[in-house]
Amino acid sequence: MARGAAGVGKSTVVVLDNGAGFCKAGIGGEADPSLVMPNCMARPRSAKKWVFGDQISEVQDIQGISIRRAMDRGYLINPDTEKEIWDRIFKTHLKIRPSECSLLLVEPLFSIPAIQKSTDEIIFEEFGFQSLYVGNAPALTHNYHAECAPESFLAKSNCSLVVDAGFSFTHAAPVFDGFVVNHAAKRMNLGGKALTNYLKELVSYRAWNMMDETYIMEDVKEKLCFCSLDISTDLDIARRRGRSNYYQCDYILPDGIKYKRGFVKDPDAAAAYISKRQRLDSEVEEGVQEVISREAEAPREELRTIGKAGIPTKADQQVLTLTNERFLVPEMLFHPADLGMNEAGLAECIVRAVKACHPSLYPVLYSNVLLTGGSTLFHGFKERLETELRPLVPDEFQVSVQSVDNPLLAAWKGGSLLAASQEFQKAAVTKKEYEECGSMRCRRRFML
Amino acid sequence: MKRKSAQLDSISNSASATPLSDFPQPSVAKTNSSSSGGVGGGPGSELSDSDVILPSVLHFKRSQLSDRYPKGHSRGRHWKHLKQIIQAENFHLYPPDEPNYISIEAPPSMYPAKKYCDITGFEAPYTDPRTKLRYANAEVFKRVRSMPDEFIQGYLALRNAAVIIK
Repeated sequence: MARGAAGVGKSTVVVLDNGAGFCKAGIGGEADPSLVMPNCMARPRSAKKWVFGDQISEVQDIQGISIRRAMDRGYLINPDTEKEIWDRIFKTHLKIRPSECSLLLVEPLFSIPAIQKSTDEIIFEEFGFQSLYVGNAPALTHNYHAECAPESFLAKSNCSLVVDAGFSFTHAAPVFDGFVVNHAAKRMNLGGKALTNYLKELVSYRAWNMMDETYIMEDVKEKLCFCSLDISTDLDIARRRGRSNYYQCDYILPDGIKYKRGFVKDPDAAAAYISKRQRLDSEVEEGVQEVISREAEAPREELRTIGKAGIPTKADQQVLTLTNERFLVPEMLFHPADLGMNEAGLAECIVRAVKACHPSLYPVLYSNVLLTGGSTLFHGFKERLETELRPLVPDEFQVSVQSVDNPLLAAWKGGSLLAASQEFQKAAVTKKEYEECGSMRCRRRFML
Repeated sequence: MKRKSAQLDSISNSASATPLSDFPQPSVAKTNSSSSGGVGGGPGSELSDSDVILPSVLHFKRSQLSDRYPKGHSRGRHWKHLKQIIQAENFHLYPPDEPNYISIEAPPSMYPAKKYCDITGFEAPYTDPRTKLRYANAEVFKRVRSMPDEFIQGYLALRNAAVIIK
């Protein structure tokens, strides 16, 4: 019955990328995790019982749903809640017996010793895993990417700068020879959660009160936000009225009766900016200014026709209209200072991380910037980071930003590769060693 | 979820493509719901049918689990916030040349910040000297001046510029 029992000799390795947003779990050596679930407990307003993150999709009334997480700013602070979630993952989904398995856990860089200790406690003492290896996302992502493209410069130099923009924070970490260069890593306390909260607040001041609707706003953010490539032009476009303002779009909020889930009213129109942006680019290159002036005239014409052509909004639909919020929210990652957070932006962090390394690594790191994590999924993130980075980097270095294949799962896949290799058993700390030496001594071996 | 105000009052200024609803109320419930509620029901009963059977006394541990959480007592909130954990860690006692949680934090930005209108989100060339709100044009300024104080503070809080009197 249990999968762990089937393994002869070598025990099954469970790979767990315990992100604050999503928990990715599966068996080492497999190509994909068997489970990706929100790492939280949730309670609908009408119910008394907390359900697990993977059951949210079955919840009927999504409005005002409460979310409880075991993580605070990405660090595991509530082991009891996490234990309940892990219990469910291991028993219901993976169907393994922890006492017959090893665990590969992905932890944030420089987790706090007290937190590491309590994590070890649940792993060895409550679940009783045979052995544990703690990895970090940048190194695993780097290894995964190098494995995917063995001919690339990144794989040959075995050196890259991994930008991991996750749910709670964003790390810029140089990876050299498969390991993170510890003293050079930088962390921004900004991630998907902060962006969702910011969007939530903006919307609450400008249109609807969505302060209790984090779950819905997360969906809005994922579906509608994107990175602006030229903020002042985009703001000008967002000022226009009528249909020439192609950033404006509507999101239908769930009302609990007719719509159980929110959705984008016109997905094609919402994605129109992608083609417009490309067209605008090519025209500027050709030097055709004419079209732009024609486009500037368009608003007046549109204003007249909008009354007839515009899709009538039904009174029973709650419509959330977004315009400049769509790109001002991801803007926060690049320029937190503009929005009231006195922190260096992502590009600045990258430059600082690189400068903390040996000068001979500069050219290699700048030409191997690797993006991973859910917050890099905003459309235009890569291009935006390139344009931000270029002016900050000396001319003689080439800047090249690339995205990893699957930003959400890359760290897990890297972990799966490692779990299947010979190195894992050598590097992992066994339960016996833990009982003998305690948490801290074992940790040193992971170079964290 | 209720509409905050009579929406789309036609203040048709050229700057606001977003329909500015009237005066939005700063929300009261800002707290993250994740911290609410006690720890979910009956971990004790779950433990008994779990695959892990722990001896009640682990001799190598200084404080036993059973002492910390006696049976029948509600556990309450016995976890700490991250801030408390960081404080307890005493990072200032750590060797300065070793990287740790505090030292890898991103430094303040070296570049001047751009200014956006607090109300509409467009570029804001002006700042109201009285309320310190940034605004995009005269139309918005009119609204700024007619706003009650708590909304002004709410808008300022959005970019962490509110004056907090303790």
